[in-house]
Amino acid sequence: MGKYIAKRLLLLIPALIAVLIIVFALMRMTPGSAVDALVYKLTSAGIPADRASAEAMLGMDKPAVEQFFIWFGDLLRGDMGNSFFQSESVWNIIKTRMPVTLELGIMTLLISLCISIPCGLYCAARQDSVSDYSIRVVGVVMMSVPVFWIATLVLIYPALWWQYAPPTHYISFIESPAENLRMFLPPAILGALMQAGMELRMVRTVVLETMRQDYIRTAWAKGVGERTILFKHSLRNAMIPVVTGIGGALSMMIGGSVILENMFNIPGMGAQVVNSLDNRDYPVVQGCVLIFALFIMIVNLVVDIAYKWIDPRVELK
Amino acid sequence: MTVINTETVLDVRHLKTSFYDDSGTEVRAVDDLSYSVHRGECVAIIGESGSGKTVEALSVLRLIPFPPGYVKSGEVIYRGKDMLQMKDEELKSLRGSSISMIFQEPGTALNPVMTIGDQIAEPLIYHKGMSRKDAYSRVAELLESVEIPNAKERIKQYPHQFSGGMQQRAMIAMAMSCEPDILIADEPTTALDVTVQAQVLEQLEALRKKTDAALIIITHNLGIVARYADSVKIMYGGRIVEEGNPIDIFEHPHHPYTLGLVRAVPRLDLPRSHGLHPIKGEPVDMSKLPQDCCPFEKRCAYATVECGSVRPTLTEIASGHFCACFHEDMTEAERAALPKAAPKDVAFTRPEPHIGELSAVELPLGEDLSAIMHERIARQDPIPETINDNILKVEQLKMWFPVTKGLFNRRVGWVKAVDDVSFSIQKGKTLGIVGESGSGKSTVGHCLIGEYDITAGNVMYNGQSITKMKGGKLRRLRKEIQMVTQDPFSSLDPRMTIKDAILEGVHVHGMSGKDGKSDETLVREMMELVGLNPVFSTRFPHEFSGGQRQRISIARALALEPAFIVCDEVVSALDVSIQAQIIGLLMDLQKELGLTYVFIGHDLSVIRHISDSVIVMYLGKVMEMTASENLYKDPLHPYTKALISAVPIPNPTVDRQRERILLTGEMPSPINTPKGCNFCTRCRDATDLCREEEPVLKDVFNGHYVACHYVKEMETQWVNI
Repeated sequence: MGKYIAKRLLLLIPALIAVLIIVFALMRMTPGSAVDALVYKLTSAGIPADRASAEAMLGMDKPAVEQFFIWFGDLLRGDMGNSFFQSESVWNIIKTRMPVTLELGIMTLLISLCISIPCGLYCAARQDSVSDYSIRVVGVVMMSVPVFWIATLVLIYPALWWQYAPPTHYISFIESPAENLRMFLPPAILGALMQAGMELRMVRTVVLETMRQDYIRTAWAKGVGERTILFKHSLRNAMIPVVTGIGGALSMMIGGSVILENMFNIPGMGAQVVNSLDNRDYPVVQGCVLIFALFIMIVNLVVDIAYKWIDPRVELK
Repeated sequence: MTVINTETVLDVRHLKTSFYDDSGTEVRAVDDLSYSVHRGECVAIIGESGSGKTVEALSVLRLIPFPPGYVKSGEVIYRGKDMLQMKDEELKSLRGSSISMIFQEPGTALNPVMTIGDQIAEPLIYHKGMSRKDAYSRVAELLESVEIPNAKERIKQYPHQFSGGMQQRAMIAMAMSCEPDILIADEPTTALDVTVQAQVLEQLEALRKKTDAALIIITHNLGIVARYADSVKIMYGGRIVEEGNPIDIFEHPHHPYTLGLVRAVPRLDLPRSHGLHPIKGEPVDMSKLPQDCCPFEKRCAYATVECGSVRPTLTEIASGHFCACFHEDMTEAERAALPKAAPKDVAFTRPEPHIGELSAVELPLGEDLSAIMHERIARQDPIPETINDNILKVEQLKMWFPVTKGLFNRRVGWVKAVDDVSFSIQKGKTLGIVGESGSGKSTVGHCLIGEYDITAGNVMYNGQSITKMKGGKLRRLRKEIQMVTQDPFSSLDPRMTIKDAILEGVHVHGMSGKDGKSDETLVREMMELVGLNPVFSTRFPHEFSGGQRQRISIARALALEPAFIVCDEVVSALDVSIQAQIIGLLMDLQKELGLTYVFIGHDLSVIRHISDSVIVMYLGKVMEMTASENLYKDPLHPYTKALISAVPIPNPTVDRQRERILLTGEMPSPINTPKGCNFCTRCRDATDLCREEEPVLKDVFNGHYVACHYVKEMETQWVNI
């Protein structure tokens, strides 16, 4: 097991290097460079500036390959560089933003699982009943309603009716759990509902699939009760595809939470990346994408290890 | 036969189970079935696929999935109570404790994510109220009783760590854990090798005898029935068509279907010249079966008008022998004299034209077709005189696959799938290769068609080594040597019509339009050649039955005008009646087209029937090689003897008098082959010499090759007995 993890971690290195090259190249291929952005900023602030001096300020006067190796060399020393426009190091930005995104992501995931697994199991056990249909219809609605629209309603109506608004300033969970949850719960629940809509349909399908398997028939023939069959014999087998889905969903949530982060004023990674992309703040975007990639790769590794834990037939090689 | 206790433990009365398809059409899978089971009795229910035998068994325990299945009416009386009317709770307390079940595929019938111990302990905990600890020590005892070594360790393992035979034995341990009154076994050994099948069945018998449980065994294997059953029911079209004791059924069958089944199975104990009589047509399509007729009417050679309009009832024709046929009281001669003639007593009859649904797909061989064949034979290249008549010669063939490990795929060993195999085949003959799974028989087949880069040795086709062939020569070889594989369901592309499937190879080899024949003509000829109606050439594979698909596969191979066909388990997935049809077709094509076959299989009786000579393989090595007549008459290798004795003969009188050699254990892994003789770990006559030195394959008498140190000595010894 340890050997397997070590092997997988080693294999992360070439993948990460590929990510570095791609993101570095992509940033520089985007029309409108950081130099233009800086020149614009300086002139609009009344400071005379030309492209050459701006290039020199950003260290972009060197050839692109050289820039890459400088950045890469710094990375190896643990230095992710400094933001072009925020007077902060990239690492500091990530350090403050990452926990926020992770908190939102994990909360969303847990809430969605708490909804989807029981509902999916219930639907499978009562296949084609009225409640099965109702839950599935609600599920489709949950996954198809645009999240920004629902989020707007959630922000506007409480304010209109009860003059209530969620906090706009980020307070960490340790400082004040209540305030923190007041800020995070609404977007987490909204994200989770959308997620749960998809997941519950998947749970239902895979549980039904396992319920048709021969070993379930064996369990019935042994005289085992329905509850045990569902929870002991079927659910664990059904978890194998579900875990794959969860892994994908978690990866998506980290990158795709931009809308909710923006609407609820949550200072997460998603909001940061969009902002930095607009400014062509190359080091911040590069740093964030690197962290995203690392995170997704690690989630995949955890999913693979989870397979082994759920399914004894899986051999990790 | 055992003395049967008269106490009835299960009484099934007028059971009817139906399935409803999407359009609401009712399929009567079990249609008015009645029988009873006595304490300690072994009742066998025989039927082909689709006969309703499995549905019947599942109905008894109310395990029919609803929807689409539904037990419509009837009674299943156990201890005076109707199980079909029971409350769920009461039924649950019977399942697994009083009536338990064993399923066909142990690989899928055990839960892959639960340990064997947990699964066997479940009924003990539920029904006997045992504590986990007590249940576990009981599980260890149970596993020991089915001879699973290191039972205490094995408890904690998962099903995939067990071999197929061990999985099924664990299933038996589970089913017997609460000492049930009735054990229902649905095709319990179909997925297992013959030697393992024999072990498993013997253990099942022993356990059952100890607790005096009744056994309902559902199978298509007539041999098993002949060996173990006290009472036999033959099912067809959801009904019992004949029932009686094994002697009645096997030696005096009255129903034409029973007669057909008994004659369609190749028998080891009869000479090869004793022909197979396939039952014509396909098993009845239950969704189209009318109520008021005999279900077998369309396939029956003796059917009269009455059979098509009135449903025959099961009537007692002799004490305890029941038959549902209007013509059961006729003698063989009288039946033969009925308007429709009986199959001719020759080795093979091509399927005759039949009426209605069934006739649409399959065709008789018309007179004009022999012309096509003659033309083809005339066109075939004469074989050069210099290369005697060995079309294929295999010299010391070795096919080893590396076993790798670690980050850099270091090679840590070899799987010696084929290890030093030599043989040759004469043109127009059939060589059978028989062995259990893992013996390397299929690998040999794949080497012959040039699929693998062989590790060592040589395969010579018409005097030329195929291992060194490249480019155009190799392409020509690919055309000359064709392969037909086991599974007719996965070997045809589901999105290609029959016509496209047949023509694909023809186009690849640029043979289209050869001899001025259009593609259409070629497809028509090929389909007619294998007995299919060319009208269906634009259909897709899923519209055909297994037997018909196998015919399509053969047509596809024949379209390339091969001289040599490797048949890899071609009849293993088919019902006995269809199996006989395909064997007949292959033998007939061989006679007419001068084809040479390598016929690979695990069924000794089929292999012996079709082959001129037979190779018995074990763990990648040849154990015995001889003319197929000798194989049953005069087997010399202890493995061959065990293999033959493990195959039950579908005749109770013959089978119950045979000496039985029960092999212990299972085939070792081909990665760690034993030192000395490969068979020494399971051979009852193995000595230190066998464990030290590997025997060479030697010609014992007139081309009868055996690889055993003790063949001569053992021979004299056994003659004395």
